[in-house]
Amino acid sequence: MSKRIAIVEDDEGIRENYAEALRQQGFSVQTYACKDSAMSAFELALPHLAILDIGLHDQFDGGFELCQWLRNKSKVLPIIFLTARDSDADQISGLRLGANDFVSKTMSFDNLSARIHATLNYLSRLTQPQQADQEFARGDLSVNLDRLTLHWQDQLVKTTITEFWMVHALAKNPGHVKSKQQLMDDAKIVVDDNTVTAHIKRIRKKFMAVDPAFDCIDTVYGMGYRWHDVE
Amino acid sequence: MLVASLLLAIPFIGYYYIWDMETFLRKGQEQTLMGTARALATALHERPNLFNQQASFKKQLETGKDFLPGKIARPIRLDGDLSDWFYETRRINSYDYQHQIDSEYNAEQVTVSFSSQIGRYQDFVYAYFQVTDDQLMFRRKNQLSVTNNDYLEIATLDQNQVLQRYVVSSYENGWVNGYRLPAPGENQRFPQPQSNIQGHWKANDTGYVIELRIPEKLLGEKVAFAITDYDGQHLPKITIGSADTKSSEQLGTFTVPSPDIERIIKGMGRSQSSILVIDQHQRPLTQHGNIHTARGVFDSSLYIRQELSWLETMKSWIMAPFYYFILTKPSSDFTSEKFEFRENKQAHVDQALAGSPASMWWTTKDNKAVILSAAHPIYVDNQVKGAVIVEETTHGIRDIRNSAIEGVVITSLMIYISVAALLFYALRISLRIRRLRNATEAVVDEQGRIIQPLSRLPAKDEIGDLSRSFANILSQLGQYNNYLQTMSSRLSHELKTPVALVRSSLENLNHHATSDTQQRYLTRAHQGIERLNTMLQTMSEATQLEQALQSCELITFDLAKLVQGCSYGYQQIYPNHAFTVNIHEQPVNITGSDDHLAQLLDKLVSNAVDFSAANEPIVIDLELDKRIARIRVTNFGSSLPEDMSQNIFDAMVSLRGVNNDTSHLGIGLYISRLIVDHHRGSINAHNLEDGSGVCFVVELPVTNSP
Repeated sequence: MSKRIAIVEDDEGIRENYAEALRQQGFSVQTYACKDSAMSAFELALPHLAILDIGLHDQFDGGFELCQWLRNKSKVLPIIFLTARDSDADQISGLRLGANDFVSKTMSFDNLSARIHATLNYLSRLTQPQQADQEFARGDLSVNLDRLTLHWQDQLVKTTITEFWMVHALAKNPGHVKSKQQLMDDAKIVVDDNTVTAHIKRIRKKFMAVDPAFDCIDTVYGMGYRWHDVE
Repeated sequence: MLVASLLLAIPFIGYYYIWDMETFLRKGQEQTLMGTARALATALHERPNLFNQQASFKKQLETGKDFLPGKIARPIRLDGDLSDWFYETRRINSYDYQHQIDSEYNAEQVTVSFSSQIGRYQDFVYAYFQVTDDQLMFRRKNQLSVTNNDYLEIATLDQNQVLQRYVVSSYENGWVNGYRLPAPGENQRFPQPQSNIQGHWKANDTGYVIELRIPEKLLGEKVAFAITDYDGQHLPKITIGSADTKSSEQLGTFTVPSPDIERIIKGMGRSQSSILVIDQHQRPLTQHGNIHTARGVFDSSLYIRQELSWLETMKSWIMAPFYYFILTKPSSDFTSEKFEFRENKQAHVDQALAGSPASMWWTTKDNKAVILSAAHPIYVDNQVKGAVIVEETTHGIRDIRNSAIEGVVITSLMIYISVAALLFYALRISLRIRRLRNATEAVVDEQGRIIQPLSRLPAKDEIGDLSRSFANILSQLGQYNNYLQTMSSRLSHELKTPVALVRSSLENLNHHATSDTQQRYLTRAHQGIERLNTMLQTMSEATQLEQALQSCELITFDLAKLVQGCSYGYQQIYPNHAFTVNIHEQPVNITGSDDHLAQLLDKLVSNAVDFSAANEPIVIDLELDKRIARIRVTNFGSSLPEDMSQNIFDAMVSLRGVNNDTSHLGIGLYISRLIVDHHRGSINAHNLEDGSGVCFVVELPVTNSP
């Protein structure tokens, strides 16, 4: 049975292009132009994954409201923001509201589809009965590749998928400097340097929330970042 | 202010002018006074009977011998009590052993002395004799003689130039009458009672007092008084007195002012002056008018003044402090001296008596009034027989002066108040304009960016209006600036959707593309889109950075390490360029955002690389200058245009050639400046002195704590 994906996007061309491309990949896609039509449809049945634009016509933050509404209806429904508004503030707002990922419209479709697959995979992993998960540990850090979760000192560190892949890339080769470009490639995102920096900062903060003494991600000026193990 | 201070001269000029005016007026008053004196003197010329003939012949008058009885204000009670005499000590004549008549006893032998005073009241001459006598001898009841006891003798030349002698003696204390002594050659042998010489005899501890009243017509132009002390039958009688009563030659003069003078003067007199007629011995014969009310011709109280009551009260209210400190209201309450007792104020009188009119003025002893006095001689047979003295105070003039000064003061005050008001108004306006200017300047920072709105003044006048229109203009400019500043980010944001649309369409086409030709076009279209994408990202980068700077946390880190690390990286990134790194000091602690500073360095270096001539090294310096960390990135190659050194840090300014392959929007250096501004530092670019290249200098404040 094909997964149902809902796209809420006010620009018809983009909406239909993405829908078509996704249908090519075998998803069944429903498209909605505005918040209200989407809501009334979602009342009847939730999709397996929702792709939302933030600005919907005259509703400047319609996407955010919709995201909140959906999160209230379902804790596990994957939500991906696909928007031209990719400023830091918007990204943080979206992720805080419970979106699983945040994709800029300037990214290629392949990037988007990769994220959709990853997200859906991750969910199916969660729902499937567990065999031994693919995971590795690095000191206090344990990385679960199937569930895409990070644990630090046996406590869950809640990260977005992008952040997960960044930590994964750093921790896989401790002591090696990963340039920002490499990190972007690993996290499958194309953003400017600042966003990588912001991501790293957010990752540090999330780890520090669990363990204030966390200091395993080094900044190597002019080069990038590296993971060093606590001895 | 300077001009306003010139106004201070107004009251001074006014005051001097008034001073001059006062002098003129005083001179005028003197002239008038002189004229009055002359007129009066003219009326009195050639009237010999106005003056005492006897006194006129004498060169010198003797005190205690020549008399001019003063006028007495009230009648004297003849009761031996002298308290009703108005004591003018200077009018009292005293007689002792030196005034003996027909004897030469020494002081011990003479046991009598007396003092006396003479005055006139209506048609009587009053006199008292206060006698000091060791032994008072009354006339015995049965005694016929009136001279074998203590007695008073009065001698006078009557109207017919015949010597008349009167004696006053008494049996006891109480009422007494005079006796006329028979003249030599008369049939009468005994003294006859003279009932119109009346008096009172009163003994006391030291002697006795005789108070007398004599009709004026009994006394002629010559007179003498003598007291005879009789102490017993065998003791010598001692007589002391003003002159020998037995010889008409010896008598002293007795001057009673002629009623004619009084009449003439009264007829001529003016209320505004005090008039005095003196004889040639400077004795006042008559006095008319009172100096206290003699205010002169300029007396303002003579003119009818229409007073606007409230104006007057306001004026007096304003003037009160001036009167208190500077001016004096002319008062009638000043001390004046009687003519006879003046000192040092006689020069003009002497001059007049010498034959030429003169005048003088002086200030009274209590400084309350100035008295003008004019004297004019009176001639009889070309002989100066007396003088008319006319006196006035300058109160009239001073009234005029005071009102003039009032005028000046009030005018000056009005001028000052209006000038002060104008000054205050002007100052306030200039202050407000200055404040508006400062506020307007504070709105814009050095780069000309509007940093805050201009507060609108609520004032309803032109300045408030100006401020409001400034505020409007500035807010419109601000909005426009804002529009321009956000233009790139909004533009990029708006373009993202159509770019996404094109891209997704191309990608979808990709799946359906069949022929090579189509594929080729698609690839080109893809390249174009990619480039567009990069541009959009660069454009939104600045906006993103600004937001990121606002929200990023500050940490303290070692700038030297950062420069060191970055420089290693550049060596790898740009293998075609040599890098020379000089770090003069370590550590250099900076508080800020390390990532952004690294980014700043990236921008500068990439910029330097772009403009560097091939095979030339790029020099990166870091030095510490007091509390300033200075990073210099130098590249050798082309120079900057002269006037562009600050502009290159603005957005959308690029000096690159048009045929550059990478799409550059001039955002790099703008971003550098944003980062430096956020760290409260400064960034500058200048050409090397030899023109061999360009040096970018970033200065950042160093953190205090290591």
